[in-house]
Amino acid sequence: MTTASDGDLPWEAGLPGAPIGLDALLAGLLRPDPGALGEAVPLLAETLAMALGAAIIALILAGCVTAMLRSRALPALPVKILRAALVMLGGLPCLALAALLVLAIGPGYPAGLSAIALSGVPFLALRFAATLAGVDATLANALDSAGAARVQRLRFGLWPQIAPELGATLGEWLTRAVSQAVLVGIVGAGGLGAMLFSAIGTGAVGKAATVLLLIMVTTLALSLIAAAMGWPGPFWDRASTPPAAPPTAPPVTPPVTPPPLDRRPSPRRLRRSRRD
Amino acid sequence: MDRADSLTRSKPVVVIVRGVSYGDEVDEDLGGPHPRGMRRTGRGRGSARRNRPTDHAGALHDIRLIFHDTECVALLGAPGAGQNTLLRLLNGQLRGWSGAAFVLGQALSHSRRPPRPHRRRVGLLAAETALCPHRTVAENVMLGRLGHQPVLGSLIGRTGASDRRIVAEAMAETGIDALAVKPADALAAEDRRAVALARVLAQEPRLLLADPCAAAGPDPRGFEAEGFAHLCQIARHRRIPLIAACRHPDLALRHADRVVLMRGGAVALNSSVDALSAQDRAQLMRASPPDTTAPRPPALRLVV
Repeated sequence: MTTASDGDLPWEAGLPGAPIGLDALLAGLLRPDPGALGEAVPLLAETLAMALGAAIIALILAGCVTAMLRSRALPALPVKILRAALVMLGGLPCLALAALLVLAIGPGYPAGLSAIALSGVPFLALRFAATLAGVDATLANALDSAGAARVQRLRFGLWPQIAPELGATLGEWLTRAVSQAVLVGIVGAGGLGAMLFSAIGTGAVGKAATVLLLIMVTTLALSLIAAAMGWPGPFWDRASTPPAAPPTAPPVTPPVTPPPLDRRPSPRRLRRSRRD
Repeated sequence: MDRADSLTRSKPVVVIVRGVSYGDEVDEDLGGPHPRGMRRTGRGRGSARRNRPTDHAGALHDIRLIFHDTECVALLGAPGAGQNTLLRLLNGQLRGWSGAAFVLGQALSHSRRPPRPHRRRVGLLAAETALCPHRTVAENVMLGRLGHQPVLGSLIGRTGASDRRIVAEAMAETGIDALAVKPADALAAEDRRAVALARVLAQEPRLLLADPCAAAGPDPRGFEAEGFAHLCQIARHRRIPLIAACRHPDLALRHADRVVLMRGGAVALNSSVDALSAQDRAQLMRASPPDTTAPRPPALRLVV
């Protein structure tokens, strides 16, 4: 086992020396420390900014990568290699990526932002490519034939098909980015994670409860905002259900057709006719 | 009507094609065997590789056709004879062909799609209705006006009074004005076809193209035969030429003004219906595909 004198931090450095017990933990979690809000709110803002910035960067990069994946100009082999590289990059944990980047460019939010953006590119690009692969081009072709410009074809022929899935993907990715922005703080990449980790390390359960509460409320707020924007998500069914179709004319009841004349008489009718 | 449109009215549709050997969209949505000269490799991603020409003859060759105003033309022939390829060529969807084609006075390019003003003057009623399912019928028909609307205005949903009037007229002409607020995904197949036709009419075409499934369905005695007659009626009422691929010679002879029989990518017969001889009519009937979907005679029933 390495020691601090070797130049490396021991892995137990941030953990409490002795367990506090489950009852003390639960009691602390149920009593958040309001005094920690003054320290936590700026860090939360940094976390959100980091998540949002990473989401924007990842979105731009993923758009470029998706264009390469769907491009007909590229031969098949480079596209397959690119796809394999994306799958492999997607397998890297964001936390490990952040730790490596902290090692490379130092602690702080740039490392966290880069790590989250890099881990988001494979996720978004592969999802976008799958969404575009399922697009039906007949409507866009019909609009092209009607004289629509390229932007109009994208807006009216392509966008209605990809918008729901794109919104769901973006909402999911943004929620994940916030969670990752919290986590990367553990390795010193900025955000709320550092405060949470130090609170846990010093046994300040109330402070940790405040941070966790902030994270949960933020996640809930993000889901509500996504629902208000019409993106599918946990609150989508109730908040953004499309309006019901206006009442239309009642269905025309088919005329009652008389029984065919050549119908075979039932045994009961046969018996009655014989009796008569 | 603006001056440009009034000028295009008097111009005939002239098609002179020396051969369509390969193209980008030739192999799509033909609903039948691939045109000759095309080989779908399924391996390469590049369009040049995907549409590699083969040693066979082209899908269309040596075609010289002139269609005049208010003429209802029926393209006849066996599946794969080139009717759809010709329609897509006239609509400017083919690439990589050789020869020359003029549609409404506009020379079609071999390598790029026609300009926007030309595309909106040629309406194609394709087999697939291609409606936007979440939009209402009126909104779907309004999509046909995109070629006339300013791009930015249309993106933010601005529509002019003339657009709304033309859409209402198109819906009334196709008999779907009562369905204006109904979502497209709640429509029956016949109504969906009517909406697709109304969308094409809303673009105020100067030439109407229709492919076989849209013009006449498998049952010539069914609704779609009326649809073909309706198309001819609309084209005559609007004084625009109609070129429709038709699978049933009897429908063509009954409703069209001119028939063009295609065989192997070339024109085998081009004549007005009135001038057809008995021999020509027999040739038309022979060239028609067997009607495999004709209704069977009712089964005999034993009545005791």
